[in-house]
Amino acid sequence: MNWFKYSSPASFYPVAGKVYPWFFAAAMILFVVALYVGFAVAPTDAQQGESYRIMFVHVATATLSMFLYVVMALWCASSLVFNTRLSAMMAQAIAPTGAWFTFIALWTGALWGKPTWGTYWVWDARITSELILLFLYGGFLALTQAIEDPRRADRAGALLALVGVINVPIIYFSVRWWNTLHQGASITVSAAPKIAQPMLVALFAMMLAFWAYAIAAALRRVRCIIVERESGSDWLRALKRQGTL
Amino acid sequence: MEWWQFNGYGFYIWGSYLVAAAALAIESALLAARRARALRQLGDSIEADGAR
Amino acid sequence: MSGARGEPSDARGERAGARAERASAARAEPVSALGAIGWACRRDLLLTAHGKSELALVFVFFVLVTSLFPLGVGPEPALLRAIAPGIVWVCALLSALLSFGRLFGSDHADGTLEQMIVSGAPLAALVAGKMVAHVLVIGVPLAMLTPLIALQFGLSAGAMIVAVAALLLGTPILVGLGAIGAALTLGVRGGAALLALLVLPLAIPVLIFGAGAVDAAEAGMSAGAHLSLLGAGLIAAAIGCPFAAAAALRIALD
Repeated sequence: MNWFKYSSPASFYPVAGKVYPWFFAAAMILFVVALYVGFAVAPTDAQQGESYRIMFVHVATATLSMFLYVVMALWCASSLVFNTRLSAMMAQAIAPTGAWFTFIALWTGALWGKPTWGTYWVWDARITSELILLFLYGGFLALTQAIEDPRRADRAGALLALVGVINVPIIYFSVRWWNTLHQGASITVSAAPKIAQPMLVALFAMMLAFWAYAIAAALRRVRCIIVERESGSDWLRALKRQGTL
Repeated sequence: MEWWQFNGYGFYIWGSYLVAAAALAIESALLAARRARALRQLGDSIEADGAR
Repeated sequence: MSGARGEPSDARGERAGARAERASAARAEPVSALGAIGWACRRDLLLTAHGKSELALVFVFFVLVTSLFPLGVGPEPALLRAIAPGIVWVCALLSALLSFGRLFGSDHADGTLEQMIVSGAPLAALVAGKMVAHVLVIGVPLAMLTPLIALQFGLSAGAMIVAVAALLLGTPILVGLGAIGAALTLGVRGGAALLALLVLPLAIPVLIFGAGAVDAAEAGMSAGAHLSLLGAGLIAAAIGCPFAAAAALRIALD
């Protein structure tokens, strides 16, 4: 299949429009499955009681927030290498969803921490890195929105995302070092409960659910971006006249 | 103890899942609003070009 | 345009002379990378020497902000000694942040930056030269101020020396990151705050290892590992940042 056929906004727009409802539906189904297995099937944990069930949404969104950043950086690299507008638009479509997931991860992490370790916030390596990731998303969003020329915004954001993705392992390594040095209250948030089979299934289903949702949201958003940026183009106005926009 | 109190952990579990659901709902709502705004601006620019 | 900054006339003459020198060099033979670095560095140093000194502000800010912490947390010596490494580094980072706007700002304002891009000289080398000048003018003095702060916070002599060494190693990395940020935000409204948002997360590893070095020295342990990591970071930044900043400049001005 010739993927490059879809590398122009004009050809990608209708495809994205047809496809995203399916991803959204898949996400909803997977959410229901994950919640059912996670709450009705998975047993109570010996140490953490019921509060461990927050792990499903916390770990899923935390993992995806990092994964989405990498995907965003790949789209950015593609936009610089192949000089395609659509790649940059996809990167900018993913960023807000990634930021939302990071927020959810931090919020649920705090609510998991309180009953389990007594405090809402723990400066451990992973949570701190997640907070820094939120700042990295914020920087990308702020930069791409502050620059008025879309072409310059695309390329500046792309460079920033690439610098960011190179720095993420460095930042994570340095934060881990910092955390092991300052083992004041030796709390490790990584102390996950002994993982039973239904818990793994629920976690996996939750991750797939959020992933499907992220794809749907990104496709919806890139369609908005295309309408915003291509408003002068003939193909877009033709679609509007036809009423199939 | 009711099932929805989750053995005393209810506040934390509901707090997590409701906020997560709300975040996704807000994101979707913002997306719908963004699309409406984009379509409206497209309509305006077509009209403006037509008037010229 | 060159009169817009109100420089003394000899500075204007210097800029005209520099422009002529570069133009003739470009016409003559291709400029070597090392030559470009030297030229850009010398030019920036001369401009700083001749121009108005907004730079003093950076150092006053540094000393001022470090002095705020004892006022905020109380004068207890043990507490101040414990938080001193972090304070020195955070304040140095924020002070340096104040200065990054002028890395490319004035050259952008009078058009020299565009001429640098279209000249034949390797842009990354020119940027590297500007970075070196910036380190000499901002980074080294900040490092030299740290013994003063160390004294105020009761750090030991060993920790004081390590602090100076760590800042000498770390400020070039910060200048490199600042150059990338300044190039990306060139001419953007709200640029200064945006620059901070872009640079500070990336500067966190430097902060961690820099403060960690001083912490280790204060505790009587060896700061070698921290300083080596900072050194490695310095080499990586020295190689990578000029190219990234040059790319960002082309993006900003194309």
